[in-house]
Amino acid sequence: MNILNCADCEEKLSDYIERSLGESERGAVELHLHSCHSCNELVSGMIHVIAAGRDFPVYAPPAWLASRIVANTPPSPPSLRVRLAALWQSLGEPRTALAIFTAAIVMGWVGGGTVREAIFNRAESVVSCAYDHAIRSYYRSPVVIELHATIDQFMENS
Amino acid sequence: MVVRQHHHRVYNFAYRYNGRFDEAEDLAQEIFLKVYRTLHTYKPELGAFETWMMRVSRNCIIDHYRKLKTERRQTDSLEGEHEQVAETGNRFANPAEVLAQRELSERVHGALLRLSEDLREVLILRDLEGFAYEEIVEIVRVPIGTVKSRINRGRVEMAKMLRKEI
Repeated sequence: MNILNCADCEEKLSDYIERSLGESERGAVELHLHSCHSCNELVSGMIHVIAAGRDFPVYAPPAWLASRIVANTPPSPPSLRVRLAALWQSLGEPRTALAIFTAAIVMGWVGGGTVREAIFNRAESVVSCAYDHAIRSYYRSPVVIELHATIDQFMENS
Repeated sequence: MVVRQHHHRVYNFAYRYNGRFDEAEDLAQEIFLKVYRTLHTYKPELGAFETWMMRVSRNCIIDHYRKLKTERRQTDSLEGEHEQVAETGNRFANPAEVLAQRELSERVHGALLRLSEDLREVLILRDLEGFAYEEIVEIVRVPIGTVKSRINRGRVEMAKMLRKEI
């Protein structure tokens, strides 16, 4: 068993009080405490401190404190769905719609001819694409092909 | 809901740390604002909400304490007209015992406030708030060996201070 001096013993006192030392260490601390009045007093003082901590008064916060905290804390942030719904709603408002319309006109005016031409060309190409697609779909649809075949057959027979 | 449930503990933690009721009120406000702002960082799988909240509280209190950096006189820190909850008072039915207990608490709190910041916080968490060592490690974010050694040193210093006063 190790012989402890006061400094070594002091380091182990909390573990000794909380009974978390191993048997040999506990024995060494007890051996030292039997022979050292000062460390013995220190253990009593520490037990006193721990007990005082446990009995420390709990104070009631002022009644208005919780309300003040709640009042000064912002409400919880809205979910993405709610925010999107709000954005959609705001777009439908006359003031927002007017602002977007005005912004578009101003941008067109500021951008000058080049921007206008670019917008026009883009719109034209989109319309052409849509037209081509519609024509192709029409001629490729089975009903139309069958109708054409029937008409051709009638013409041959007649 | 969170405020109503936890403001009692947060307020007492702040008071125990700095010994002033007015500052504890402001700190409680500040702590809950911080809790609100950082709520999205809380991960239930990493530990209890209370431990996480105490870590936020502890960081907030330390930031506040470092900002102030002024020495407080512990004599005026224990003044106040706040009502003490019956939680501890019931066990001391005799008025003389109640008074003795109050005086003892004031002396202990006075000694606690004279400890260094490192020792005080772990001692409050362990002996006054009753947290387990593992929870204190989570709150203070230092190794368990450091926590244990700080708690031991804190208790030793407190015992020595109180012995000198007698």
